[in-house]
Amino acid sequence: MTIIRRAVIALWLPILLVLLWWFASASSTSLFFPPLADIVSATNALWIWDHTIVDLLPSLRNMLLGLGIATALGVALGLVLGSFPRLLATFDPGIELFRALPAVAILPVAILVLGLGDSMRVFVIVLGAVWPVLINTTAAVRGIDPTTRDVEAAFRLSAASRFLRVRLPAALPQILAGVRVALYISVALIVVSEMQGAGVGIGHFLLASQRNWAITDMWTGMVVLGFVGYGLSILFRFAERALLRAYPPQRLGKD
Amino acid sequence: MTIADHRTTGETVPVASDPAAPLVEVRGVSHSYTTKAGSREVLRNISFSVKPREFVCIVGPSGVGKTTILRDIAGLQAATSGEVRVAGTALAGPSNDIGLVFQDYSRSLMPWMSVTDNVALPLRGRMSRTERDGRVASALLEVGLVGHEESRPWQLSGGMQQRVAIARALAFGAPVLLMDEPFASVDAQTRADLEDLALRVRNDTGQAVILITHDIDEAIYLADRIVVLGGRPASVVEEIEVPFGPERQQLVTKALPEFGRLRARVHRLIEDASRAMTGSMPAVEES
Repeated sequence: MTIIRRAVIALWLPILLVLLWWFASASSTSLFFPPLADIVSATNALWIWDHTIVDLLPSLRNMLLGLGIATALGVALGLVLGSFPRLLATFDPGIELFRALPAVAILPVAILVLGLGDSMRVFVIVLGAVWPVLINTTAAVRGIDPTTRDVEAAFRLSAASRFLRVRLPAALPQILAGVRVALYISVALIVVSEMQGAGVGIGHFLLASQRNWAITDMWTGMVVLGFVGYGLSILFRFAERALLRAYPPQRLGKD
Repeated sequence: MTIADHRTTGETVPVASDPAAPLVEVRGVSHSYTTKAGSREVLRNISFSVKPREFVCIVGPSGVGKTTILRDIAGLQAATSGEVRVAGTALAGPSNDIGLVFQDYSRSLMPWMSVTDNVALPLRGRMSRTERDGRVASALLEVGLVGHEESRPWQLSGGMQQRVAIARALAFGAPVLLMDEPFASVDAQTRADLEDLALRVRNDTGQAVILITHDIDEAIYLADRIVVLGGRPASVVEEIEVPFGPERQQLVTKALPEFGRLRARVHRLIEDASRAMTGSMPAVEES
């Protein structure tokens, strides 16, 4: 009962919009806005499973690799910076400067230095996605209750215990909020980075279709990206729930 | 198995060779805080000592500097002058010889850790897993939390959470237990239960206990000796021996005529101390 009601509340608007698109575009003869029915049948033909294997999987692999490195880097640096206010005061201006620089702007430099391969794409994702993780981790560690710091000191916890058993889990809810933002940034950056000199990848597919005037194919790429983004977001929510299972209920991240 | 059993293995609660020799010595401790308005002296020349197995309560009017003396004894901050010696060694920071129980259990326990993991936290990296498990199990037995090992603190009542904090300090195995108003935020019945727990722990483990409280009845019920702080800056106004022995009962002990006399005496001391303090500078600390 409640599941049905929740599904109805969550889905009526998307369904309505898709229906609107379907009927509004049904008799379209515009080259740029093909009928949704054509897009759906082209999506079936292209993405089950040829282009999923050739284009989508490499994109996802690079994206997850970049996101993983960005998360590890952001958490490790954030734990250190959040723990030592003086260090933070030294690095904070630099962090603000680099963060303000759009990762897309680094793309030409990255191509010059790293070439057109996967390492360039992973690098660009790391550079764009590390900031929300780093900033959230730093803020969370800085905000740890003074009593918790007293516990660390009074019981003379080892450095490993302080960082891995106390500060990391204490910061985890905020870290995950940062990773969620980093996930969206990674999806955007993998698409953009593949528009330059990639032979495969969903970004390459989008741009190649557009340049070949395969407009319906281009639209299928966007449909697939939409579903992939939504799927990743749902997966992330499950992961978040699982990781925060032991935490007091009010600290669970709001979606 | 109780904590006391660990002594036979030589792992915890080192027994002083001379039971009359002080285990904790607070020697001429003064503490000043530097604020924008200048330096403010909170404690001046505080001296007292605690013998092995002794239960000492520190009382004083609110704002007198009880939290300051606690943090100095715990080694969480350094006294401006004077020293704190534990088992003959001057403190330079937190010590393995002091197990601390914080006032605010909801913030001193890690909410994401099970009861077991909270109690085991200070022992990580210090001993074998077998020994750690043994210490945690006996500490949980001592405080009556068997059956709640896998609960999270936030799933427990306030009194039970403070038991977890006490178990953590017990498992730490220090000869001194230092408690900062540990029962201030629980209801009256729970408070009485926890007071009896604190007495039993001392009798079972032979640890010395220093308990800071603003509650005069609590201090008299628990203490072998009461250290009354007063004045601004605060110093030791008086030390009062409480002659009730190690075994006490809430109804019986509190009904003794001597209990009433002691209560009147401590009340008067604290009243005088706070009268002397009003009109002078406002308190700078006490959470």
